[in-house]
Amino acid sequence: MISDETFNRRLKLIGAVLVGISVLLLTRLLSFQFYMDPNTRQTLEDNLDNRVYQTVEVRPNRGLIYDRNGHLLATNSFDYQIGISPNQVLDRQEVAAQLAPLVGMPENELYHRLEPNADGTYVPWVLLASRVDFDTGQRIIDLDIDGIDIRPLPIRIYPQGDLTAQLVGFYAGADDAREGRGYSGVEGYYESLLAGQSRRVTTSTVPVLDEAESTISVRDGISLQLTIDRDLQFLAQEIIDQAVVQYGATGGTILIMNPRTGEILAVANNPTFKPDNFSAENLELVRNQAVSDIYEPGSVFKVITMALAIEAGIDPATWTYADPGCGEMAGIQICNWNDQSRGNPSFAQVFVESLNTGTATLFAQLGHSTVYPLLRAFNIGTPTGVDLEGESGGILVEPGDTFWNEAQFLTTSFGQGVSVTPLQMLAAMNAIANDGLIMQPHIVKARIDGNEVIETRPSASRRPISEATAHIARDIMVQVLRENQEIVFSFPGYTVAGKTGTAQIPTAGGYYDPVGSIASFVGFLPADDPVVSVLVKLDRPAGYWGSKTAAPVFQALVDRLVVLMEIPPDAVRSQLVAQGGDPFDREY
Amino acid sequence: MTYHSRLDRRRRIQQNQAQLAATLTLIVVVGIIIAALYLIQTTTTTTTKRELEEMSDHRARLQRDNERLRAEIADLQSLPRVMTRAAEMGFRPASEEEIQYLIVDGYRYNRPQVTPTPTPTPNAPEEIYDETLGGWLQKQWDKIKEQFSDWRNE
Repeated sequence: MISDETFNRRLKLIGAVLVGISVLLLTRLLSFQFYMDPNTRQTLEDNLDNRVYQTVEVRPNRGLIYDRNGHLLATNSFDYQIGISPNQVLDRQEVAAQLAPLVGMPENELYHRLEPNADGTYVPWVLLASRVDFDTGQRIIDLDIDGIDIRPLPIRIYPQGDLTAQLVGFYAGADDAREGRGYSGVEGYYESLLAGQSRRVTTSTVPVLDEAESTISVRDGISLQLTIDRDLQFLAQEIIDQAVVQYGATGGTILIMNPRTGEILAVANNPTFKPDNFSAENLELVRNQAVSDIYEPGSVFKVITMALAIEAGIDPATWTYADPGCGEMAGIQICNWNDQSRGNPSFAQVFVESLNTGTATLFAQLGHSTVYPLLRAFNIGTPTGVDLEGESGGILVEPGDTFWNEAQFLTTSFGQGVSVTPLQMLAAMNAIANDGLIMQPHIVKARIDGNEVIETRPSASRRPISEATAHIARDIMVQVLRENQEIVFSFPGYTVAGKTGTAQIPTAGGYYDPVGSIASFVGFLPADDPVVSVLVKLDRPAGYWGSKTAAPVFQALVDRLVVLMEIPPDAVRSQLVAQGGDPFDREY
Repeated sequence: MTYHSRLDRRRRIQQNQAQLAATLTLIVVVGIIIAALYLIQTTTTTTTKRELEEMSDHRARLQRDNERLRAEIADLQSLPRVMTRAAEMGFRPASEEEIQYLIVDGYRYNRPQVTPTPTPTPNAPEEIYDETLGGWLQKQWDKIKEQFSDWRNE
């Protein structure tokens, strides 16, 4: 039993010791606040943000792309990047066995990656697979393995495959650190709209702390509805693929538009691009030949010559000339396709029989000062401004240009010495179909921003010819298909306007290829109230002539087009119009 | 010092010690209560935050699933698949001769106006400044003459 005095003395001693310890601790704590080794302070300050906050980039969803009827042409999905923190793995053997088949790595190798270093420390993070597909990623998530790090990587899916590949373009370049971007076609042209706006957001890593920024407003990309009709696109692609094989061509293009609105309904090229293949050969094909490749159009260009001649004051009812069949003009020989003379052919006969001597005579009579302004009014030699990436402008050599000469001026009348893209050619011909107005070619029908839909209003880009001129030119184009003996057409019940073309291919050195040709056809229907215009182009077909190769392709296309687009025969249409109805029960 | 006075002093000391002990106990109990409340609050906040994170992850996963399903649906509805399926079911493309259009008397379909007819404004010819001093003086002289002739006619 200790005495009270002893007890009190010990109590005081313990109290003093505890107070002393407390004072020491307090002093040390205060020293952190008021004085600290500068290096230690700097290190702690540098790491503060990393310990408490992390900055991540919140990515928006890329806008979707639909066809005019709401079928998806481009949508989003995800691949996954798989990593792991080895120090958090409890059972290396089991984890290696589970993950190895999923990430495509031998089990032993995966096990070794999870092991500590020789000094007993662990690598903080190990990459197991840079990219696994969505289903595999989901299976790994379901395993719920400690320490696993699964990062979604956005990818683009094109459900229609290569059907619309050149039109839509492709998306590439995305990984866990950066966003990808769209290239070519609609993906490239509308990159800024489709991409949306990402945002860097700083969030707390400590659950009890408030987030540095509590609201995350990321602007998703705007979705686009195209003017393309998937069914027409499929039809056009099927027919051009068959035609290339059937006529032994090296390639081809079919372009379908609505001349009334400038909407592009289908663009099919052969060969085409596969959006899921990034090989160099395949990437060469990403270029959309219909808007990017220029060619000398040949006789289909005569429809422009015809329209501008009428517009410039040539009277189609009385005009004629002495046809030499083959004669010298401006120092070169200009010949008809079979070198034969037609005597004194009429204006219409020049185009029905596709007489080069006739169109050259027309140009010679009209002169440069009349012809070139009208060609520019048809938008020849300049891009149409279509909303697709990679459009070419074509070539129109004019007086004053280095390579211009009088002979070239005359050959331009029948489509040689002038270069256009298929889109330029069809857009120019659309002036004849659409009462003299060229509507702005476009591919986007509407932009969809959340609940807001912004429609693209069709707009007129040029009026190269009057309505009266357009109607005369249209009637001659109908005559071309009815009276040309070389072209065998059969469109029972329908009135169709059109023109064939066979163009020589320029080679290096200023000569023309003696063997190959570009066979083409342009046309529209119904001739008196057109809803669709078509360009068919075959590169180097074995049959050489447009009338023997491109024209039958046009026939095959139109046979199915009238069914697909529900275009009634003329007689039915007349009855519908007579009772005040509208023949076209669809919007185009 | 008497026995009684020593007893009183000890009793007072014991009383003071008891009060001190009671006060310390009270402070400790209050401290524990405060600590417990803080702990409960922190735990609840942490749990809630954790739940929110899990829900956020779940939402992200559902969104990804949704995107994936959308792609699958589009793939299943793609034209080659649909056409293959249609062919398996015995369908084939109709030809133009097989299509019959029926005209319903009095039916009038009001097609939305899709053909705008705006006429582009023609560009005004560019004005060329080619006036000379003589031309300007002539113009002024003509104006004065015109004014005089108007005045005479009045």
